[in-house]
Amino acid sequence: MSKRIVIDHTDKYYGKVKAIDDVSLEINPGEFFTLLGPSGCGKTTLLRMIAGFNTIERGEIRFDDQVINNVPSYRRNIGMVFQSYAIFPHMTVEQNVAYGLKARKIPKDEMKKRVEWAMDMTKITPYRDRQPQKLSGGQQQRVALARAMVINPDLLLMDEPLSNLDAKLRVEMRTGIRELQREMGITTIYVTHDQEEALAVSDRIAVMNMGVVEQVGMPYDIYAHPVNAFVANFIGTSNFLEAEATAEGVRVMGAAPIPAKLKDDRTGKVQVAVRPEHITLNAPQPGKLEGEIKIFTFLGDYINYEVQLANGQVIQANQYLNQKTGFHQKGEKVSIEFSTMNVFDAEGKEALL
Amino acid sequence: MIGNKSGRTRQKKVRHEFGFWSIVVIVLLVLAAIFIVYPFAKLFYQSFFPKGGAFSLSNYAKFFSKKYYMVGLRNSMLICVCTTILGTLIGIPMAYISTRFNIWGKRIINMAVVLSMLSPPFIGAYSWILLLGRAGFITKLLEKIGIEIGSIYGFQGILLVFTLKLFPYVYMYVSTALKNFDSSLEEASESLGVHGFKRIWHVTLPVIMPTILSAALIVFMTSLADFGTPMLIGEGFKTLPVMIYERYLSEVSSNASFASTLSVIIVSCSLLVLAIQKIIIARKNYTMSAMRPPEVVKLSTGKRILATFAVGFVALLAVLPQITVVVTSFLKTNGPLFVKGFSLDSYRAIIGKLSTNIRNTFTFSVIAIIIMMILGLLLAYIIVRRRGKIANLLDTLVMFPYVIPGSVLGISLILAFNQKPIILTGTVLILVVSYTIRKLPFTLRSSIATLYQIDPAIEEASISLGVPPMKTFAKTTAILMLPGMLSGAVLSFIATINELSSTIILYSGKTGTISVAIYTEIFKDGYGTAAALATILTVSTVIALIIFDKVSGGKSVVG
Repeated sequence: MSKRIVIDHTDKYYGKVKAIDDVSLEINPGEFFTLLGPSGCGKTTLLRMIAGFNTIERGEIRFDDQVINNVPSYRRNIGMVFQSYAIFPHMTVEQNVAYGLKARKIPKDEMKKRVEWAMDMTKITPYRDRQPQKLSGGQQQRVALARAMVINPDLLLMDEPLSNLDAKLRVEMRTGIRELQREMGITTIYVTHDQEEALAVSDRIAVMNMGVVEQVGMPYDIYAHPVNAFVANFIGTSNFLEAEATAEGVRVMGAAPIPAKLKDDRTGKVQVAVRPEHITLNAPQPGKLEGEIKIFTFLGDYINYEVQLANGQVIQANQYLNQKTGFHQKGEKVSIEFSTMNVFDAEGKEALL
Repeated sequence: MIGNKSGRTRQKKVRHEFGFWSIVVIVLLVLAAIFIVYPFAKLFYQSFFPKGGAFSLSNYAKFFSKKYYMVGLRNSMLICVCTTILGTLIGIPMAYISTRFNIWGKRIINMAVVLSMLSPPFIGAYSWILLLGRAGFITKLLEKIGIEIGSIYGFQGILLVFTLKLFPYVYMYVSTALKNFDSSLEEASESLGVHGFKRIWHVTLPVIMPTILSAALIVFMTSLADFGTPMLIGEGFKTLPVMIYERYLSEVSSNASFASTLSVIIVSCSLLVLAIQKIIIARKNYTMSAMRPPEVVKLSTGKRILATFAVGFVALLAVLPQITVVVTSFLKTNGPLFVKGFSLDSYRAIIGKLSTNIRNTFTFSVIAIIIMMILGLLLAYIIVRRRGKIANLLDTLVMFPYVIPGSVLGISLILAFNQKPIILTGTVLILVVSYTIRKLPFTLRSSIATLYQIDPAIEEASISLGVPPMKTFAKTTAILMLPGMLSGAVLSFIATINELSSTIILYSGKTGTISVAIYTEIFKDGYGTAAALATILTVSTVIALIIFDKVSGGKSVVG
């Protein structure tokens, strides 16, 4: 039932603009796969190519071994959840859910059973006779999900399904979607611009930018080992510092070199990327990178410091409250140490660690 | 759609994607070519070939050198400009008072104004003749007490009828704009010390200026196109549409070449005015979403009575022709004269003589409206959802007849379809074609507006669930469009049953309609029967308006 999806060197143009540029991906059966990227990166375009709403200018998309380039959308047996939900406003909740089964000419009693099952699973049975306009955003979202799942699709496509919900409901819904997907074991491609959401739900993530896939990997890998500066910056937050790679290690602004084994023993100008939570602030020590606390923001479970370096650059550092060290005050001089860092070439195109 | 690298696969793909809708587009383009482009091309062509001769500009030379025609052009322009100015000057204050102040009877006033707007203009001319003409009720009444009113015939009569019939467009458009006005703009002005009339002049009016110009354009176009009113009440004061009709009648055996020339000239005038209006509007177009619609000001009782009276009086004048025809339809007649007492004779007469016309009007209109709804649905979909050059072309083509006077459309259809390969003259079909072409824009605009409100993802959801595009359209978008579209269709229907200026050219013995019968009855002095027929139209219009009110959920006719 669940299929392997292969996207093989595909291109898509809008007029002269290349919206998708030689994208290749392989999505395993039953996998929860996310296309993540800023708006305009091509993630929705790619999803719509898979759905059959966009033409494919070059390359192939395969469901298992079947090339679906020329298969019209309505024969692809996909379930799709839209950003706007796209609930049929002239039908009740139940009619919405039954719509795809009717098109498949499923016998009456089986249809009834499956509709019940889908409504049950998405907890919308109490609203079965309601008009969609009378439902809240979250309820409409669940109707959309039930409607897509009930047809037993080979593939579930979700286009920013949670972006119209408020923050709390978004977290609740994404957990629900994830559980349901696991239970059904259905191959799912999920589009979002929200990196936290992507990290939370995905088996694997493809980070996209300007029509290109920058990196594919499991959430932790992408977070811990970004392949370039774009990914390091888009997933989580990173401070970027100019540095000099030497035989002894990486020197950040005249501080003592941090020992590091760079790819191909590269030397010269590099970029160091450090996440705020990987920065430790201590009392000034000779040879260490130094800065001055400019802004101190208390955020509940942690404190965010903005630290100004000697060259004027301001970096972010987070201190979690369970750490034993005391707080730093505004105006205090501190030394800056990195527990973990990533090193990229000067253009930020390539990871060197 | 570029970057074609794998030719064969791509082509197959294209066929899938554009299957159903590409057929629709082709069919619509062919229909537009046959029924819109070809007739107008023929008309244009014919204007250069006088009396079967060779190519010549002599028709145009004749037009611009003969005083007779230049006077006609001047008359048309004079009447249009005066009507537009007067209609705007009446419409704006009426709209302002009725939207911003708590006057009584707003619903009735609106109904009266809309009714006069949607009824055929020649009924206005005819009624005002009955009231103020040589033997008019009011004229006689005033004569008895020794007051002489001047002649209603000629320029002043046309202006009176046009203004009362057309100011409602300004009233309706401006009312809608004022209701959607963001009152914080006005409040900002007041807080800066600009208030009262000064505020209206410096803030309110400039902001709704595009709306005013749109309404003024409609007033101008409609008065330029109208044939019935100047024909009935103009007497010596001839306008271009009257001349077209007369030339057409005298040329009927030949090729209508000079009538074509006149038509081309009047169409050029329309297009010129349209272009000027577009340029002005393009420069000042403000989009506004009423964050906070303005509040209705409560007037003191004295002022309230005064305001209600002023607005009510104008509305009454506007609807007076309709009241007149209904009342006179029940009067006893003796030949052309109304005599004392009431009777149903006029109705008996029309049922005996003219029941075919009544049946025709409704049969043709229903057929035309069904075609318009189907076309409106498909065209709107192509224009909104399949945007591109072809969609724009179709949009322009089908909107073009909107600015074409009915008589011009009639002549061009005659020219196009009175010879092989397609002969339609004298048939029902040519009337239905004319109605469809001319009145489609109402249905189309409301369909387009409705479609913009419908989420495109609805269709994609249906397709993704396994329903092919054509069936998807029928099961989702078409159904969702229906209510919104219906309100435009009702307006198309009203305009169709009241149509005279193309029908008068296209009808034959068997295909006469109510409006044609009214027109001919008036010229035969059958005032009673004309009134009875006009009453049927008025009642039908009122019924249609009530339906409109129901299906549109109380929306304005123009909004």
